[in-house]
Amino acid sequence: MNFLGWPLEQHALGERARRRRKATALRMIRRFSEIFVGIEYDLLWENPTINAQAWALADERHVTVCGGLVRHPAITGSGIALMLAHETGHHLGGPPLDPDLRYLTWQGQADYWAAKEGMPSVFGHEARRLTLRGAAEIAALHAEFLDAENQPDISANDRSAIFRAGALGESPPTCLYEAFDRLVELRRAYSNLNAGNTFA
Amino acid sequence: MGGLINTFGTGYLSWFYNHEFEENYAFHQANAASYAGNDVWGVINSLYDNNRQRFPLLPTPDPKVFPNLVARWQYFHTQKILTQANQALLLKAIHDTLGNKKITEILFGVRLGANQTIDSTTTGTAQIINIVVTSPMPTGRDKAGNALPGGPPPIDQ
Repeated sequence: MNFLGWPLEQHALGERARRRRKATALRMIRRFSEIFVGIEYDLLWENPTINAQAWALADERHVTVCGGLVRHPAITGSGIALMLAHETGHHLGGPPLDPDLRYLTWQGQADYWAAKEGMPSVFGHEARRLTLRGAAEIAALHAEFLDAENQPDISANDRSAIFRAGALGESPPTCLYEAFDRLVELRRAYSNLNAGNTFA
Repeated sequence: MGGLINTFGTGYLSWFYNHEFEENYAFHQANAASYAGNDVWGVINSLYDNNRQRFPLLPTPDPKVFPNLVARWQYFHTQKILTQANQALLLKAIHDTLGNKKITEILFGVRLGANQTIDSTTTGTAQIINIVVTSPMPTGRDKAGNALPGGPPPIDQ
């Protein structure tokens, strides 16, 4: 439920840079659309939110990218590509599924699928280089999410390790499963608190 | 939540409602008539489960970790950040789903879109209900982290 927390862009780009970023994002979206034909990708260019999202509408599968993410100073074409692969991974990455929305692949697994399957499907032998560069950019984005309510449910370090393992064709690192177990455990623990809730 | 970066506290809300409607679906079916009107917080504030002795729609995050999460959720409805028309659509979507015998669970989420609205679509025996928002709610804090008066309750730090 992003409406309670996601940050908004703080850095205004010049008009030329904005045009370049938009063209890059649209080019990447076109490449992903050609490979993953069952998924509809769209860019909310004017939206300043620094994020992107996979979502479903009945049997349709969608990926929405916000302009605030595309225009972020930490992001280049590599980061945009890896972000699109990650969002695609939410639809195609398999288990473990997101404990909050069980029709989508969980975050860490979407990262692993993005690096191991998604990026090579689109970029072939260029995938490893782009993935490692994009992973560093996504790690830098995490700095924007510093509030407790707003904290990512998986750390930048864990994500970098997962992206790296996928890019190098290795098995998923243990931190992937540890992060997932931690999230489920925290959800469970919080659900047992304040069981007799009132407005007192 | 399907985002590039999923945030922990807000994901909690989605988890809370999805589990409530999974584990206590029969209770909500029996009280489907409560899901009416255009005041979501009013429904959260009034629907009471005598067996469990609780308000089942009132989220219960750890107050030490998320002291303002529920207050911000309340603000989202009572200050009509989610418009009354869309609050009515949300309640109607829940009501209609609860009356559909083919559906056994509701999966709630939020997604970004060009216009604020409510998605309600069926996949298998599940109903996916999404609040579609155009942007995040203000954090209620300035850049230094100080709470801003007059805005929404500040995001937890």
